[in-house]
Amino acid sequence: MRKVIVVILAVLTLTVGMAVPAMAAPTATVSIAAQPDYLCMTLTFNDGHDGSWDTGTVGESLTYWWDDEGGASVSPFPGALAFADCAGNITNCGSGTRDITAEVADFTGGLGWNITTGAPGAATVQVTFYPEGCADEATGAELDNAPIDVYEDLATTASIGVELSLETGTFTDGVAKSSTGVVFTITVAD
Amino acid sequence: MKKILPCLVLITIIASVLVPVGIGYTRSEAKTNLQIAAGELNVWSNWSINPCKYTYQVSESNVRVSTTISNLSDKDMEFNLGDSSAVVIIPAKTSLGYYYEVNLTGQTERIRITKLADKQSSISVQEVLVLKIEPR
Repeated sequence: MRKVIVVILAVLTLTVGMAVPAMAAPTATVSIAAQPDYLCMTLTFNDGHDGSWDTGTVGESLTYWWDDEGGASVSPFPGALAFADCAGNITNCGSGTRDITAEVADFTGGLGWNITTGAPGAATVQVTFYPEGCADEATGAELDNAPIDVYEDLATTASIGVELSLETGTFTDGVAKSSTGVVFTITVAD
Repeated sequence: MKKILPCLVLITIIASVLVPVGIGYTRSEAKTNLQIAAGELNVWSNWSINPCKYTYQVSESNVRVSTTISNLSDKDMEFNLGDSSAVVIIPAKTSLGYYYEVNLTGQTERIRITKLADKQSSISVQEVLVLKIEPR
């Protein structure tokens, strides 16, 4: 009986001895913590606008305003940009101060239009962002294919009216164009 | 008495005609005070993620972080969750808990959660909330 117990113990010792090194393979400890903080965005539109801007037929080297969608396009400047001249309105319904970035995708359809931050030329267009209160047309943020900061430190529960303009260049065909989107992003303020 | 009775009948007839007209005028005046709002505010979307930020101590392994995406609006909305998953629909007034597996080696990771445009047009609007994971 003693021999049997000794053999069993020996086998167990060997088994555990072999298993322990295998389980003790290099591991990394992760300490990760979530802050009690959340992001929240409410997007509203004025006067029948919605999440799309149908410019209709556009001419060369002209500027169109989102707020004037479907009608004669008239610059809201001079004078600070009023809420009534903003098509959209972003509210920070989250729990802290937030930054907003914006970007725009190139237009496709026929020979597409590329986004430019300079003066539009052949098959290029410029899309510009204006926050409510923007002093003049020149201080708008010219959007690109990558996100750029367009508004910083939007306080919790605060809202900001947003307006866009589209400046056309010259055309190379008459095929309808569309962009997959202007993207508004809310992030935790750095 | 014979003279009073016809007078009473006459007064009753006149009153029965005038009182309803008076009520009618009252209602008519109330209608003139009605006003129609000049502008209409269209609530397009209302949504949140919680939590939106993680901090971590450096490691060399995959970790799972989660966030809850809440559709606070009155309509169903489509989301791209920022990984390889397909677009998901979150019904109105509901939330979705979602896990991301991230390899953290000291870098800051940003996961973009996108509310997709409801319809395509010349220019569509998309909204993004960013889940930020950064070293401590």
